[in-house]
Formats: sequence, structure tokens, C-alpha cells
Amino acid sequence: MISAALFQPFAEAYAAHVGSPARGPELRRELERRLAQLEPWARAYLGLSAVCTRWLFPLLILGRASRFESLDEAAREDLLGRLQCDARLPVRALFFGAKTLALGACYGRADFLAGLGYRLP
Amino acid sequence: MTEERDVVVVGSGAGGAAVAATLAGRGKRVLLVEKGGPAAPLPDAMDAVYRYYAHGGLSASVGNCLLPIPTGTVLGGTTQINSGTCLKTPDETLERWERAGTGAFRADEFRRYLDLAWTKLRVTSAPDATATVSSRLFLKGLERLGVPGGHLLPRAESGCVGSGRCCFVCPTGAKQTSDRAFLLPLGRPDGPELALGTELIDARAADRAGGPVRVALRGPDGRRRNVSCGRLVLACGTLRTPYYARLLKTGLGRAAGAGLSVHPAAKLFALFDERVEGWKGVPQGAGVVDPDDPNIRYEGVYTPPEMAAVTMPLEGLRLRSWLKNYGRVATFGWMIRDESRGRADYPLGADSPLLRYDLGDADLARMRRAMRFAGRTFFAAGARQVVLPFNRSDNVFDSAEALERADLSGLSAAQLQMMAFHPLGTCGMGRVVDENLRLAEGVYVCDGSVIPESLGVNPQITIYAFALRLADHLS
Repeated sequence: MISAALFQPFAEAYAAHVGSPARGPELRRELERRLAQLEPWARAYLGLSAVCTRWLFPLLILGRASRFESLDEAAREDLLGRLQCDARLPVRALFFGAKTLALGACYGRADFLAGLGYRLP
Repeated sequence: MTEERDVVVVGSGAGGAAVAATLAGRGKRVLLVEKGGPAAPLPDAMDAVYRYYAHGGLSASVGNCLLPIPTGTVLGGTTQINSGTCLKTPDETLERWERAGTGAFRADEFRRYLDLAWTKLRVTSAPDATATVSSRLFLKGLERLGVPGGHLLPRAESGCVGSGRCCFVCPTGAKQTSDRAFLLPLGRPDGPELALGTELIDARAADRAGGPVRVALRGPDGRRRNVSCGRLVLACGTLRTPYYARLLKTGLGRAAGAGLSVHPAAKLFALFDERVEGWKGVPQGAGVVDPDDPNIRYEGVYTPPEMAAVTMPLEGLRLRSWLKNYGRVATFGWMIRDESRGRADYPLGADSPLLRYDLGDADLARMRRAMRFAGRTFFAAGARQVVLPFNRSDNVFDSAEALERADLSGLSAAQLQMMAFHPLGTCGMGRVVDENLRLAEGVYVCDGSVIPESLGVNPQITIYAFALRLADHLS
């Protein structure tokens, strides 16, 4: 079972890094809602992407045995930048999966969209 | 118990809906099978992607690049999530198909079906009032560069108010999707019988003695439903139909899955001083063909903010800055008439195609050329910055001069941030199906998979024309 709990610490840290106020139970509910719409294989893929981005990639890319959310601001910036540009497609694909869920939940927020002047149809 | 029908059509996209409705209107007993359900607009674009895109929008090909290929799994198929753009099959392409064939395909005859589809879909140019600021800026840039040919695109629509959500199910129903154009109102007496939430699980071609085609379906309740019919039309889409074509175990069906062309596409983001508010208007309202390379076509595109956060090739603090200013960001895209070919295989069954596609050198060179041209055009229109679609830290440019100086020759396919919206060719006419789209005794194919080459234009009108032609053939 892939639950939002796996994503939440990563999503909160990522949100804070890119300046989104998304956090707490509201973010958790949004992550749950999005995961619930996906087929089991897609949830499994995103779960794997969360595991890799939280634990494996800091070790693999930065050489640090530290979770993503425990990294300082500069290390997060370094890691995210290098993941975005990584030439290895499996790495990019897994990072993209984690990013899709986390940033989708952060930037789908009504307050962010309203701040842009974006009006939902 | 085995049910009997004259025709079973599997898939309700451009090919399936048109052939099913036309045959039903002529008195045939038609069962139209659709795996998805009806579409309804949703406020969150990502929700629409999760619900109506195949595999929650996570379908992609692998190879020397990562290439997401979104298709629709919903009543209306991919026409529910396309941009509505209608461009006729180029004349030279039709002539080439005629020359390559045995005489059954005639260009003049096909043009009549293109016209018929054009009328049925109420194709019209996007009204000037619904053009997005992005489109206006791009056209202005073209004018300043002296590039001719920028124009508003013909679209399948009626009463569009420019909601900016074509790709996430039209919120007003103005876009003429295949179900809207051919099937509504559902359940009408002269329409096909509809089986939603139902999928094809097995098919057997007719024997030469004239026996029926045998079809096994699985309904939404999980029960098996056996149907015997005079004709089976596979219209499940380019990425799914080859699985069933192979299932038939006919000589030509075994070749299905190869020959995949996709129109690799990308877009750039440009920051302006003025408000752009790209969500207002028809996202794909304008286009132009590259002045020096007819294999590159530029077309408008818009990405809602919650999706731009994911698809913009930026990270961290730079992403934060661009999203904060997203109301001033314009976008425009392009697609390549690709020479590269991929293939679809099914080691895990019809639901999980393994797509392989390597972007070749010529197509990669076109991608590099297109991103520079599009960036130059936005700078000519007054852009302050542009982000080119590749994953490298030097992808943001502050001036046209910097863009011209940039060395893009080292860009690899793996670094490009692309998508592909028009998978075609996996059951190509003349290779897997014949010129009447016949695959096996009593079995026909009618979707993007029959288009035998990369078209270079948005393919929906071509697919509708093939469907109307097939309906006449089967009548």
C-alpha cells in the first residue's frame, strides 16, 4: 500500500524549497486524493520514486546518507538541480514521478492559483 | 450465450465513433465498445490527467530519450484531450500513398472524405477574440522577423469561448470531440449500441467459408460477453490496437507494433513585462511552418500552472521565480515530422505497452533548430527571458544575442524535455492493413495506427476521413 505518508516529508521540504506554503494535514489530504485516483502500478511507481528521491538519490548523487528533508537549503538546491539534469533516464524518470505528485499537490492549490489571477473555468 | 451484431467497433475515438455512427445510421446493428466512461470537465488539470489519460498520463516511450505520449481512455478517446486543431492531410502525402498502393487508395476520393469530416466537425478558424496573448505575441514576433505564414488555426469547435482547457476536457462542450460530433445524444435509435467500461479480451477472425468474427468482451461487472459479428473494427488507438492485431495470429498482424512515428514535440516558456495570462483563450489558436524546414510546425500551447510546475525544465529557486511570475509567462510549442521510428510491444498485455523510440540525428537537429527559432521569435516580440526545453543549467536566456551565441550542438536527445501527442503507424496501411484497412477476414483497423508515415500535421481529420471511407466500404 503506497500512502501519502511516504511522500509528505519530501513534499513539504520540496514545497518549502520552491516557496509554496503547502504543508500539514491539508497537503496530506491532497496527496492522498491524488494517489487514490491512480492505478495500482502507477502508485507503485510513484512510491518507488519517493523512496529513491528521499533516501537513495541524496546518497547516490551527493554522497550523503541523509534524507532529502534533512538536507540544508544549499544541498537541496544542488540535488534538485542535478536530478533535473541527470543524463540517466531512469533517474530522471523516477525524479519526475516524485516531482509530479509533490509539485502537483503544491501548485494545484486554490490560493496559489488565485494569487496568479488564474480563474478556474 | 453468444450475442449477434452486424459490426463490433472497439474504441470510440476519431476512428471508432465515426465508423460506428455512420454504419448504425445506415441500419447496421453496431456495438461500440469503449474501455473508459463518459468525460466530465474537472477544475484541476492534473485530476483530468489522472482520470482520462491512459495510465494516469504516465505513458512514455523509452530509448535514447524520455518521451511522454498522452492518449485518452474515455468516451471520445484522445479527441477529448487534444487541442481540437484540424489540418488536412497534405496533398503530396495523399499522392504518395496513391502511388505506393495497388489502386484501391485514391487521393481524390480521400479528399472528399476529408471535406466531409471537415463539415461534420464544424471546423472553423479560431475567432480572433479567442486568441491567447501567447499566440498574439508569437505572431507579432514572426511579423517583426519578417517570417511569413503565421496564421490562426482551423479547429473543430462550435461556440468556443476560450476557456484554455482543451487538453483537459473542454469545460463548455464547444470542442467537437468524436462523441459530440457523431454519437450524441447517446442511445438515439439510429446510433450504435454503446458498451462503456468494457474491453476487448479476445478476437478470432472469420474463416474463409464466411463464418462470423468471434469477439470476447469483459464488461464493467467483470463478466465475459461473447459476441459474433460480420465485421470487427479495431479502433483502440495506435498504442493498443497492435496488441489485438497480433492476437489474431494472422500473417500481417504479426508485423503490427513496428513503424511507430510520434511527432516529437516541445515548448518553450518566455517571460514578458506585460500580463500574458495564458489560461485565457484558445491555447492552440495559431501556428506557422518553419520558413526553412517544412518538417517543423510551430503551434500554440498552454500549460496550466499546476502542470507547468512539473514540466518546466527548472528546479529550486529558479522554478520558484518563474512560477511566481507565471501570469507573465507565454508559451509556444512545435512538433517535428519525424524520420525516426519506434515500436510497441506487449510483454505484460494490452494495458501495458512497452514503447521504444530513439530520436535520430536528423530529428534531434530539427529540435535544436526549432527551439532557437521559437526563442528568437519571442525575443522579437519583447520577451525578457526564455527557457528552452532541455535539462541543463544553462537553459535560461536573457537576450536574443545570448540565444544566438549559445552552442546547442552538444544537446543530446536524453537532455530534451519533450512530449509526443500523435502516435501513428503501428498498423500502417500497405504494411499491416491493406488499402481498405482490412487486417484479416472480417477484421478492419481504423485509428491513427493505419497512417503509414509521420504526417507533419495534427492527424485527427485524417483519421476521421479514413473512418468515413471505411464506413462506406463496409456498407
